[in-house]
Amino acid sequence: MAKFTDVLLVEDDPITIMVCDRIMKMTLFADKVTSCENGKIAIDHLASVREDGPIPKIIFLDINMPVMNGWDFLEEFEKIKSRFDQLPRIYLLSSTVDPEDYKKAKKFSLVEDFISKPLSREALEKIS
Amino acid sequence: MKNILNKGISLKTVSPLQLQESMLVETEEGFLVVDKNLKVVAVNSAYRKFHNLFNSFDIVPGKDLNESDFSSFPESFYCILNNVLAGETENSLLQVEYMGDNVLSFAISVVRVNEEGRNLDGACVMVHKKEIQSSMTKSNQDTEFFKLLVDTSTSVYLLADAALVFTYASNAVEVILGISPQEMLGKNAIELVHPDDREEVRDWLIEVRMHPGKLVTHEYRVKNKQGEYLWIENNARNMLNNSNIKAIVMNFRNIQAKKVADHALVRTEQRLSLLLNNTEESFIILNSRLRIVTYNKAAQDRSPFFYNTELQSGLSVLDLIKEEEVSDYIDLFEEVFKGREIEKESTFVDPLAIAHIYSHTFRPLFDHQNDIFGVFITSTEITERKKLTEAVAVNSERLKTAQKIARLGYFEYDVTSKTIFCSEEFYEILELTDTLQNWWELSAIEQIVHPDDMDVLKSEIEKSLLFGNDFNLEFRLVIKDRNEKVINAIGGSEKNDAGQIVKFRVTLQDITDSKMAILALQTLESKFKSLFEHSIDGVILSNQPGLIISANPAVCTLLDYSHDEITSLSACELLDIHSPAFSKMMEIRKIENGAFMGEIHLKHKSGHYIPVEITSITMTDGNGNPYLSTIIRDITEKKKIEKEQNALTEELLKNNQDLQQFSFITSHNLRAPVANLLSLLSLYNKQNPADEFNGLLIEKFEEATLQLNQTLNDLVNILVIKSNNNIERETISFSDIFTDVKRTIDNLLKQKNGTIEVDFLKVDEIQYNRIHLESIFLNMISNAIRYSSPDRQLEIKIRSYRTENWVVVDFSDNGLGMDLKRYGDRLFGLYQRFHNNKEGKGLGLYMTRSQVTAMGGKIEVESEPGKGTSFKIYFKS
Repeated sequence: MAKFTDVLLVEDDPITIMVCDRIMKMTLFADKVTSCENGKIAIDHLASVREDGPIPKIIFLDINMPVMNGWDFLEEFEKIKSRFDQLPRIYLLSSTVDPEDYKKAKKFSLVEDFISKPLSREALEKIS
Repeated sequence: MKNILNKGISLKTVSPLQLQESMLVETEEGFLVVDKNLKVVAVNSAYRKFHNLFNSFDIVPGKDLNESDFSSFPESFYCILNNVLAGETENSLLQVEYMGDNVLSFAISVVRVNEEGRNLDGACVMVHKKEIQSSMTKSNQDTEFFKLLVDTSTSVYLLADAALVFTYASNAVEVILGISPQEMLGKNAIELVHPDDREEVRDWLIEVRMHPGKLVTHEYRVKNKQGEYLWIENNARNMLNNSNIKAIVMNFRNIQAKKVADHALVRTEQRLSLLLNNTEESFIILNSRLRIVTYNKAAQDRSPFFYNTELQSGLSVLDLIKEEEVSDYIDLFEEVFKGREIEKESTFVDPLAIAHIYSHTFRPLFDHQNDIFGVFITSTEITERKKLTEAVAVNSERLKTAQKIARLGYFEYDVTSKTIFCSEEFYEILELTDTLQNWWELSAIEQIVHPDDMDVLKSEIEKSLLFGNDFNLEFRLVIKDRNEKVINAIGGSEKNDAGQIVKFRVTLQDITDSKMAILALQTLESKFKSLFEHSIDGVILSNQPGLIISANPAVCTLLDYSHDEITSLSACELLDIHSPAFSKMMEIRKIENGAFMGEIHLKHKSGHYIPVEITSITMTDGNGNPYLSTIIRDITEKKKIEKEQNALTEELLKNNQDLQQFSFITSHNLRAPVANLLSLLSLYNKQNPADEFNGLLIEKFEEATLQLNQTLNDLVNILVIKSNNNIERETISFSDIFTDVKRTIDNLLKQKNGTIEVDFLKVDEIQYNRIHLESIFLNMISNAIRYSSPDRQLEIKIRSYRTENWVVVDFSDNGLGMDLKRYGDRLFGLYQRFHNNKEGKGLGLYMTRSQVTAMGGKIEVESEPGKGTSFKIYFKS
């Protein structure tokens, strides 16, 4: 039995998706990892979840993505979050070095933490 | 007074007991009391001492005395004593002198005592030692003194004791009154006085007694031996307190003849007096002893000569004069008695506090023998006249003062009388120490006048003297060891009716200080003037209403106005009164009292505005009128540089930001594949290389490595563009570039079934770098193809045209379009992708913008989702 049943990974890079999926499963972090290749798809995915349906408890969110980046996703999610009973904990997963990004992340209350790529076992162990 | 006299006179009625008792107390006073038979009743030590001076035996109470006991005394002593005892006289006085080593003088008084109650009938002898003759040396002087008096004077000298009983009389008393000095002794001072005069004499004597040391004079009548009354003038001085004298000293002389003359005078003047009593002019006649003989009504009414004293015949004029003036008047009368006529002024203040000034004339009165017997004083009030003359005096004093204040020296030469007049200031200005006596001494000035100025000065004076010319000149004085003095001389000559020159006048003024001040001022002015004229900064002086009074050449040049043009303007006409800077200036000026420092714009003659920095301050001119002094500095260049600097700074800032952003993005994009590689490695099953998952990892590992390589290559390309500032330029034709690019993308275009329409007719050639331009065209066209709309056939339009500063190439398409509101700020960012299109890496537009800006151009975009996009590339022309 893994720590979390359902984890959403918003990430455009296929290698990162594969690696994250593998490591989360290996460490028994998640039973199921759903991935969306940009923010737009992720929003659409979440919006399609039925109101009484299960919503992922954890979201790993990349920042730099085409069509809708991580920041835009966060803004969009703010708009629809009221329809969920339980809100997911969002972890930003990025290789950014821009201090502005760290500052910006603090503005979003939904963002639990900022995790620097690559996603490691240690990082996952901290999440409970 | 009466009491004093009564005391003296009533000695004879003193009771023996009282006498005895009082005498016993007064031990210095010797006394001896004897009865009718010369038996000693009482005696004191002082008497014994006295007695023993003359007699060898002692006197004791109870002893019977006889004539022999008094043998050594003057004969008169025993006689007197017997006379008293016999009742022939009540009392008697005598003086006894002892001639030993010292001359001692004793005043002896013998008084009859007759007291029924005490059964005493006898006499008392009192002895009083007179210290006036107590010492030999003193005696010599005194002897001399008395001798002199006796020998020379017709006056009588008398000494009286405190009781006013004569203790001494000089020989002259016999001449005047026929009474021997001995007879005078013991007489009371009042005894011989005429009954009518006694009251006055008593008052006089009281005064004498009351004022020790003061000489008090009185005229009165005394009886002579023959019983006739004579007028005497008695001068008395109270010397009782003087230890050497202890007496009242009197001195009297016969004034009978003078009195008779006075009376005659009074009679002769009576008629005149009648007349004179009706005149305004007052007169007073004095006798030769300065006593008032007569006076008229006017004199009485006003007493002009005296002070609050009623005039009265017989009064001495000296007693009526203010004490401090007495000595002056004595001198005056002395002169009058020498035969001179004297005028004198006096002032007195009436009860209404009005001052009256009188002029008095003192004339000697001569008798038939031409001897002066009196003084005739006439007095006239001259208050008004005095006022007039004083006014004149004040005026002349004023003139003098004015001359002093103005430091004007005055010189006058009277041609007729050949006399000169020089004012004090004249000497002071010329620093002459010796007084000039005549015209010729004026040559003294030659030594001090500056040699260069001498001729002018001389010729001007000559001309004035000869022709009456006026002159006004300045000349310098050279005074030893001193700076030069500058003198202004104004002069001229006065002519009489006949046209002859009668007077030559010059006023002198030392104008050194003002000269120096003017010189200093001129220097200062010229300094300021040159500053004003040659200053690079503009200076404008404007007055309170805002009119320009003056402007320096710098301002005129700056604004292209002539001086006359600019001074016909008001300051407002030069200002942009609608600009915020102007209102700010006015606001600050209000607070700072006209002072302002700041930047504003001034209107050039041609109408455009010039940026200037001004410093204006309110000042006050010599007359106290405020004016505004404004210093203007043209800051056009400064502004330009400032602008350039700002642009440069902005660009630098932007570049810096770009670079920072670039570094962030590149590191991000490099880290991303590296992170993948690390993750993949960590997942690799080293224990079992045959793990089937390992194969997949290797596959991904290769992919990630290639990704990293690609990213590095892209970054190198960007860095080349960014760092290569001196890119080679050549003349390139847009048409040629388009042809080359079209060849590479022709397949893509055909796949999308798109068309490209080009128009390079307006501008076709540009100085640019070929590779860059190719890259720009390629990126623009391939983007248009990549993001074409699936709903319509792709149409791309490319056209070039020229604006003022740019050559513009416009790439327009009818593709997907973008929401610029959402993506505009990120459109040209590195690795920004907006479409989920695998081909786009987010590099193209970033590269294009870098290539454009690196050559000084810019790129603009217009887009609407669903309609299409238009990029305008601006190349520097």
